[in-house]
Amino acid sequence: MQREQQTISVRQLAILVIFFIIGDMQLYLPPLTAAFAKQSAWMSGLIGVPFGVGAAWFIFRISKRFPGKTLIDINNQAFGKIAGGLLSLVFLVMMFNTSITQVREIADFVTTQMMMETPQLVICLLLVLPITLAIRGGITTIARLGEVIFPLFSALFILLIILLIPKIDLTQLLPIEVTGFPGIVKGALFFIAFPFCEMFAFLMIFDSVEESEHAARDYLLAALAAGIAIWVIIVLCICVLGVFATEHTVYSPYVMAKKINIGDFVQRLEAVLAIDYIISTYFRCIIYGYAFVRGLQQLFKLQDHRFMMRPFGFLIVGYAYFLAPGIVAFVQFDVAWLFWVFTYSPGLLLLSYIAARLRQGWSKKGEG
Amino acid sequence: MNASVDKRLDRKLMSNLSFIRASFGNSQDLVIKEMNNDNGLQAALVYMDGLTDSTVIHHVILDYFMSEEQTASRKSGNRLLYLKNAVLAVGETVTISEWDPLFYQLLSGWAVLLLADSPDAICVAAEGWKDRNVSEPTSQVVVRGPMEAFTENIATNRALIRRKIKDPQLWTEGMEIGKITKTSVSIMYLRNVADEKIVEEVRKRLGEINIDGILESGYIEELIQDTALTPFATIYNTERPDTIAAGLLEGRVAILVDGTPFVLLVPALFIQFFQSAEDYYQRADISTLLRILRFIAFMITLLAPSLYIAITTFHQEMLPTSLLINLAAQREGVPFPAFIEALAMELTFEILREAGVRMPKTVGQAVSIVGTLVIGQAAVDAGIVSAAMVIIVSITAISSFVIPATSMSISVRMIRFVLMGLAASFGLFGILLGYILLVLHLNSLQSFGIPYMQSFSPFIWSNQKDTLFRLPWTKMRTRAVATAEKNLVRQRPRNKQKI
Amino acid sequence: MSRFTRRVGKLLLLMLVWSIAASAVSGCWNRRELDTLGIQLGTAIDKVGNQYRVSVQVVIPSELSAKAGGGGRSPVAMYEATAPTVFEAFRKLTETSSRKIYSAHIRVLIIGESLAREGIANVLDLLSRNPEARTDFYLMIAHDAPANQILKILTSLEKIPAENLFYALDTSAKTWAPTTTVTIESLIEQLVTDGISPVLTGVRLEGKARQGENISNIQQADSRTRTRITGLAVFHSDKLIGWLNENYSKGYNYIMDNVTSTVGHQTCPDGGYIVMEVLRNKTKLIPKVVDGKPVIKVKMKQVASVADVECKIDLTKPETIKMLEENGKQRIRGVIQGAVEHVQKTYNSDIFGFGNTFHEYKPKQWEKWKDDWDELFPQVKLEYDIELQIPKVGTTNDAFQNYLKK
Repeated sequence: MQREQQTISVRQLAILVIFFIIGDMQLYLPPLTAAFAKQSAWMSGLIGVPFGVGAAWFIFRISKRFPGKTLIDINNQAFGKIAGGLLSLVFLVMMFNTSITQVREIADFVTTQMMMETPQLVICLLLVLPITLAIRGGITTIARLGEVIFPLFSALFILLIILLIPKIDLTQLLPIEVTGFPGIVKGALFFIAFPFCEMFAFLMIFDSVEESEHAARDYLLAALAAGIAIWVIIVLCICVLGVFATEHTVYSPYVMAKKINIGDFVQRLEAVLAIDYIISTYFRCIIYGYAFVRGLQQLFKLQDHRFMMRPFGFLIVGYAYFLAPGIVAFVQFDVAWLFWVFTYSPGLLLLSYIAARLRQGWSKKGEG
Repeated sequence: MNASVDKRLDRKLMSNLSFIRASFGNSQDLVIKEMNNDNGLQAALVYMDGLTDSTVIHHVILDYFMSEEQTASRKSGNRLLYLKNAVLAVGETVTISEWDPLFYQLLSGWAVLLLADSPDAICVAAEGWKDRNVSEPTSQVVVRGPMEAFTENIATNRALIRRKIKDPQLWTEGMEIGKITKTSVSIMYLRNVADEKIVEEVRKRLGEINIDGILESGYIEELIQDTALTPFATIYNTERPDTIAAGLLEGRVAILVDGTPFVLLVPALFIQFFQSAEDYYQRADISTLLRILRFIAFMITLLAPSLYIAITTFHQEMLPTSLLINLAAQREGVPFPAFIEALAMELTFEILREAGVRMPKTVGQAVSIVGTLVIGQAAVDAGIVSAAMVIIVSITAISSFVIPATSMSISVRMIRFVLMGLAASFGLFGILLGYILLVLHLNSLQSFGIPYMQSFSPFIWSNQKDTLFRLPWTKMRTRAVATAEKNLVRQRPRNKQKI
Repeated sequence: MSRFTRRVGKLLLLMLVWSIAASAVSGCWNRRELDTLGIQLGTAIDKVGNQYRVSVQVVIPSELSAKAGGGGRSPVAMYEATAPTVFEAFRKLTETSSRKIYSAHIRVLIIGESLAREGIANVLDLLSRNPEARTDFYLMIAHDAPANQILKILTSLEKIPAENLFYALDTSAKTWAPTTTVTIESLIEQLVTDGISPVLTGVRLEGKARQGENISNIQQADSRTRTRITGLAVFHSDKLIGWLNENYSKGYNYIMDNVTSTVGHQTCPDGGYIVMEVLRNKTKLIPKVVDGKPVIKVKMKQVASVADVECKIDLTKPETIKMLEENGKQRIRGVIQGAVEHVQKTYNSDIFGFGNTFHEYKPKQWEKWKDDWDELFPQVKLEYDIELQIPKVGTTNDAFQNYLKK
């Protein structure tokens, strides 16, 4: 069955961007930034948001420069079929790896905080069905799923923030800037890299977005809103929990949510955060997964991507399991991962972009 | 007897009559009234007893025929034509010379007049059988709004719709479906509003049906729906003419089936099953609140038992301490795990509900008393179930009846059990997965090419005026996008007159 | 049609595999029916020799339900176990208890005084690591009594002793200055932050301990044995070093801005008392460096009202109110001064977080002082900027005592 070109609206793209950026970050970023920037983590966020949105804009520019082309096409254009294909393969490895890392993160979280005795493998196994079904349906299905779940997601998110306001203790942010600038910048690097630079996965999606004059605006607004959302979580975390607990609790925002208590009645709402976290991480996983599967399809010029879903499903379980021996080792990856991300985006991406531009220029000159 | 050989009527009256008798196997309800005069057999009137109106038969046909035959026979020229045009004072007459249509007309309640020495027969519209009167709707009750429902008669039903929409653009197309039952089916749509693609799709799908019999619109519904692999109905059905008229005005296509008061409406969207006709008759604010209430009820039906199971067996830390102690006290001595307890109670409820529906009305009362006592009192007193579980099951049961469309309410009740299983195995995580899968599934559904979840995904801002909310009529200037591709404007902006 | 059946078959197979995988493996992990839980509401940890003695208070739900009404049995059961580590002791409880102890709903943790003197860090680590445990319970130190003894005292108003302690502390912290609530993260935060030492509320036993364990203790209106929340335990690092009395505790809470409402009295010029109810209180500490020495300015704004007049005083005159305000200020100042000096002299433990205040507002100065803060803390001088307003005198203006018939 030949598939028609799937399209998504700009609104749907914006929602996917928000899900993608918030992703697993609402749980991982506060301890990471706090570890480097201490109580000034909020400043890391302030630096990170504009740079992050900048990174997002850069990725969007690339797609604008090569309309209708995916990352695979751009790589091919830049370095030719073979070298470009190899580069694409390197990108695909990253997408595959990150996609399944999200599954592992959900499994780790669920088995650490919600269901301790349940084996991680089972959680991965359970996630296979929703992930493969969504990717199988293609970008339209993913986008529509996002559209339906987004109201729930954002309502819970806002509810959480509002309920935490009474628990804020602003003095936790003091003293301003004591660890000095380097720590803040290190924190900001995490803030830029993980949520925003990883957005190169969207290069596999941009060509499906309907033409719209608002595309750039909505896309950047979504990136900005999501950036601010993570920043708010970091600030709340430090204000509510204090630096030490934020830094040294594995899932500090989850512990923060436990502190909600309004009149002894509205309390114990950490499940709200857990639901939000699982939803957004799930989306990050399927967006990466879709980018990977679509990339494979394009790279090897396959007719259909759906036959890949079963092996991909099996890989989810296996790979997530072998990713790291335990949570301690997993957290160790963070710094290395940071540089890994930067190698791809902006590193390799910039290289590919420039090369493709040069070749485009040559071919134009050749024509003219 | 071989109908295919003798396709046409014979000139001889006698042989025609015997052919009819043979074809019907001398059925009791076949009446053949032979009319003789001095010259012998001149004519015969054939009709089905019970399908025809005896007034027409006796007073109109027989009386006139008996008295006028003599004069008619004296006239020269076409006797048949004369009879048809001048003598028979009935609304509709058709001349037929083949057996198949003749039998069809005969079985539809027409009287057939056979003449001697004529290869043609005159069919006279004389249908008249005992019909149910137009009565109040029973499955979709409103407090305010029209109190009439469709009947089993397709002509009446068409008239009920016509009476609401007096516009020549309301087109009707008819067809017979069912090789044996030859059930007449009509599709109705507003030609200047409905999307031609959808109408064409309906025609195509109805045309593809190849079945021996259609006894209810449910047959058609299952035969033309987009996919059978779903617990959700993708075709809306109603017995309310006003709902159909409203649907037609929005550009939908109605499918009427003879013999059932339930008329189908396509395309159907998910949200449509949460809307009641009354929403448009009540004040907008009330309707909006009611719709939100229904949505909450939907959520309760779907999630209440599974959340209860998940929280009491996996996430006890989420309960306030005093509530936890209270629930724990109730559960002391209950022999089953919460999941089994819930499953048993929900099943009991489903059985009671089914019994209540199938039961003769007089017995129903007794069943409900026994049911309440069994579920509510005795089970708790005996310590077999906890009181909290009874509360959860009851609230679920009552909520499920708030959903206006029965088909949706049944789907939800089915899915509830799946979610309960997931909750019992994986707690909230399982419910969340179930929810994601459910939304994925809903998003993959289509009704006649229209996404089932339309208005939500793809999100259409202008449709929000009539989905979960219902804006006042002054604000509803356009029709819903996608069902009515053309002719979107519903009302012109009114001139604000200063009083 | 065959394609359809095949699809149905495939889907059913998929669902089947999925659900079998799901339910088969789910088995019983993490599933706990409510009636298999021993809901633990209170914990007491003592040190006995080299071992920890953990005592938990478990609810007996059927004794508490509205319907049963209690058959005269105790609504709680106590289980105790002794082991070299706290966690082992917790698990060892199952030797005596028929149900697994479920700790998510713990309301109070009482630490024995002897254990507190040796250090509480080890105990806290277990509690903060356990994902099940919630963080909204209060910690207390048993004063002059073994911790488990405190938990055993039955009380009348709340059927569960642990709940009684929780609400007693919660209510008194809101309406009575000398007590304060401490939860586990704030305690850990204080333990790891430079320039602040924690305090914990103390709880003591009144009457005969044996009698308090008996149900007869709550069969009379005036229970013979009760628990009383009183005084603050001063810590240095994670070790208990001493106690503050009620007055010093009040001073501590004023400085820490923990007071929301309390009651205090003044002496009238002609003897007798006039009692003030504090309605609002806000304290801010401003660190200053004067002559290279740390100075803390206590900026306080209090709104109070006259609650009770037990002397002859003319409340209709603005001057009287003025005088009351002046006296009040002096009193507050005295309370604060007393508390700070007492702590500086006796314990030399920065429970007021003066060091932390410097850390927050004068980070550069703090870097210099950080290492010798123990020497600097006793030298911290206080300045005061107290504002007291008495805008209300209750529903009567002049006291009727002024018009008493002779």
